[in-house]
Amino acid sequence: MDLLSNLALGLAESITLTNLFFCLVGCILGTLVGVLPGLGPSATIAMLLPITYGMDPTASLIMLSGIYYGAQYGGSTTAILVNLPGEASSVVTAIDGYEMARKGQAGQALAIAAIGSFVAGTIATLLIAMFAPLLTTVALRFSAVEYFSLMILGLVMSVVLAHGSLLKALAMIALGLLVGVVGTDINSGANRFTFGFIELSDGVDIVAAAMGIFGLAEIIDNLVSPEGRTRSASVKNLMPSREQFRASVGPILRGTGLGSILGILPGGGALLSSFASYALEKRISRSPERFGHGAIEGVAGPESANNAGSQTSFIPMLTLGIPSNVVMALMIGAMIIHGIQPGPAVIRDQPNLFWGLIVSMWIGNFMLVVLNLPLVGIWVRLLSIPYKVLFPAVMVFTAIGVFSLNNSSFDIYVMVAFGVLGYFLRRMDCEPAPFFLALVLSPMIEQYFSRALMQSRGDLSVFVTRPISAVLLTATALAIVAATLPFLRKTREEALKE
Amino acid sequence: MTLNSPKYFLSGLFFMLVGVGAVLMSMHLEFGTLRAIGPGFFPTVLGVILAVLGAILVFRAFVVDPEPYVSSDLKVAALVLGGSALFGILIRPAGLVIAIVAMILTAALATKELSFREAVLVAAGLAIGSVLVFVYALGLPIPVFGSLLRG
Repeated sequence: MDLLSNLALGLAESITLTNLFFCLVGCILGTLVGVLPGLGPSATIAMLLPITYGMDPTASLIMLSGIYYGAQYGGSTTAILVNLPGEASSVVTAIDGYEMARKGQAGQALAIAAIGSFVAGTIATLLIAMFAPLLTTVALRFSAVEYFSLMILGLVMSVVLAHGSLLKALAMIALGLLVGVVGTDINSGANRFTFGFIELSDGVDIVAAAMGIFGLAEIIDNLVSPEGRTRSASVKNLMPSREQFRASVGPILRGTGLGSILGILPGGGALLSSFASYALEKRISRSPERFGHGAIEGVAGPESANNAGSQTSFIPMLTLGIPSNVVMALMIGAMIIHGIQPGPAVIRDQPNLFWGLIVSMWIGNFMLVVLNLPLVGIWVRLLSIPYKVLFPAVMVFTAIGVFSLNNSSFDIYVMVAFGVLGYFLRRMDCEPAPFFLALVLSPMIEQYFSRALMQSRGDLSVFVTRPISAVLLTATALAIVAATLPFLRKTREEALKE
Repeated sequence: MTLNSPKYFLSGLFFMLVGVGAVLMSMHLEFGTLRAIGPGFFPTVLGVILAVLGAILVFRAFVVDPEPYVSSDLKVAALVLGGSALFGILIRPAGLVIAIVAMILTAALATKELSFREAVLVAAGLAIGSVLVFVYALGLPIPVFGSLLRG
């Protein structure tokens, strides 16, 4: 069977000593940044990108993805033990997880979170292995027209599912696309918006941009509103009781399903999955009043969902070359650095990389379960590192990382400029994530648009007369309409509030 | 009419200015035709879209519900961003050690949590650690002491 031989190929690739080692490094780094609040996976991946230049592409992608899903594990550990979600996707876990910890059930909550994450990770890995080749065969038949429409759908979905003003988010997309124009136009050779800087002729460096918008802006946010720290709960018994197991099976499976679907959608990923799962479990529970007072379902569901979501968000990135969130956009950057153009050709031309990466995710999930439960004590002790020592270190790593991109101070200035922009936009309640996705996709969108029109001899109607493109654009229009309808808007906000 | 939301107003104004600016700056680029779009096509269209969205936001600033005032934190932002810029300015002429120390001491002013003594210790520790890890262990081509210091 195809699936099995593919997985066997991936297994062979991922259990080489180098790849196992980098998988472990990624998982440990991921857990570390997951535990530390104020340091997220996107900033970490951006910081480490320059170091992966010299590495084997498979090993570097394995390590970078390990950071992403490892951070989900680490984030839940601190959410449960000290009510301090290390990652946004663990915010809901803290609600019931910390209540359980206060009742002396911290160990059980951690164990259920880890088991749920592992089950979700395993199922999601299988889903990727099954559906990625299918999507790829479809995608290989796509022409420029379909790609253009697909990217527009992706960008719009990323703002429909986000919170805040839709209008601002759409403006952020337009701004991102515009900034993505900076550089030499590859068709005409004309310099656009380079302001006379020769360094800008290759466009804005996305790593420097990401470090400015996310890295520096996050430091500013953290310094402005220092979080109060709570006492850590002690971990006594790790083994959940039979009732707890029985109560968790449903939430774990439902969370996995929900997370797998939401993860594929652009703008979905781990964050939305965990919120949606919590809302779902609370709604279908026979005793919803227990939620918020240490209900194990409130830990099992969201933790499974965020892990499933973070895994399946690799599907559109690996098969179509379309990032569904900021981390995936950086992964695309990493692939391009290694000379791999993300898209349907990857699975055909680089089967070792593709399947090795997928199987390594499952191995990484296993490592995380085995490693994290015994090491909980160490992770919690890390929390005693005060932020006043942490943020200077992050600033130094950031500065050195960005400088090393091209060995030039110019990238540092680009980072600072994007830091200023990011700070201003955050103050204005404009979410920076859609901006960044648009920035990354902009050159591709322009290329596909131009190519589509060339093939149709300047006929714009081609975007609505080709069936797949028509469906994609209709979905885009429906998504915008749905987001503006009052009752849907309200439930969207409620779901995010809960 | 009262300005209910400065955030809508300012962000809208910003988007409008960038949009109009993009259109103006694309004027000298060839627009092309639909059959063969020129380098000016994409930025001009985007500039128009952005300016229109910005204008709607500016208008909405007067009709949305009033929003609570949030205190400014310009100083923190200026020090963190300024510190990073300082690193970029100093790294070539003065080298890694001085660039790190200058960046951290500047950024440390942004928080009361870090006293001057602590800031010096943290900066010195990070400078030594970075030289050891990045320059000696990883072999990145970063000048430890810059061109000015080497005379």
